[in-house]
Amino acid sequence: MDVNQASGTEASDEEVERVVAAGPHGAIALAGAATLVVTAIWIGFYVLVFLPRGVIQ
Amino acid sequence: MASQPSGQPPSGHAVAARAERRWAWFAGAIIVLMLVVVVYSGLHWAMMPPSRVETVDPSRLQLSGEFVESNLGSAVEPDGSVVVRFIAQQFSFTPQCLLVPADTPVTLRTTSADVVHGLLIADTNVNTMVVPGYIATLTTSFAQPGEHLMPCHEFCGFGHQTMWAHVKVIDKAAFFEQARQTRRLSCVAR
Repeated sequence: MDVNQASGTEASDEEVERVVAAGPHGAIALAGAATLVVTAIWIGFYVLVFLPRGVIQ
Repeated sequence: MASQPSGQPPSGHAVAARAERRWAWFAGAIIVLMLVVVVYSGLHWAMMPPSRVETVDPSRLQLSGEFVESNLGSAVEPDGSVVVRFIAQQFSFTPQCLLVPADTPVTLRTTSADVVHGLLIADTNVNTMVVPGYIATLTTSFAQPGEHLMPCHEFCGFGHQTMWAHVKVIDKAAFFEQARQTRRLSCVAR
């Protein structure tokens, strides 16, 4: 039932806590890179495609 | 964060909460940046989707008023700008080739004689619906001489894929030279 049971020991919980306490660097790196790529594409389209195509009023 | 087990030691919880707060600020900053860009565009260039409501009787387009055949095409206004009037109908634009000058304010005025159409001018931001009973108006300027396709982009029937026109952008001086000789200009081959 408990997925942690097979390998679950007090030591592994401490290890998890140690990892969590170190901060979610991997998640931030992954999400940050993905977000920056999307934002860069948005800005790229705005500056390189939208603005050169002229103003509409 | 609130769903974390209560037995979670505070240090890991605090680290995660701090990371989430920072990420929220980061995401918020990106949203604010995009909003600033959009608002700046709207205020600095007055760039925004045309929103006026101007009506016309589609059953009388060819009989009287602004969209009679003799008034279609490009007309030079007293202020030096150009107004292009054309009609969308299944399955063509009239005139089929719009002639406009480069580097000049150009106002497009169009309406539909039958069903809902749409148009865009390739390589520009011109893009509008053309709805019967309403006049679509938008102003832009073409930086360079050239030729652009102007297809109907709203499915309007079984001939929709054949409905497209050209926009021919020519040198400003050449355009106004032609405009001195003709009241309404187009580039339809005669």
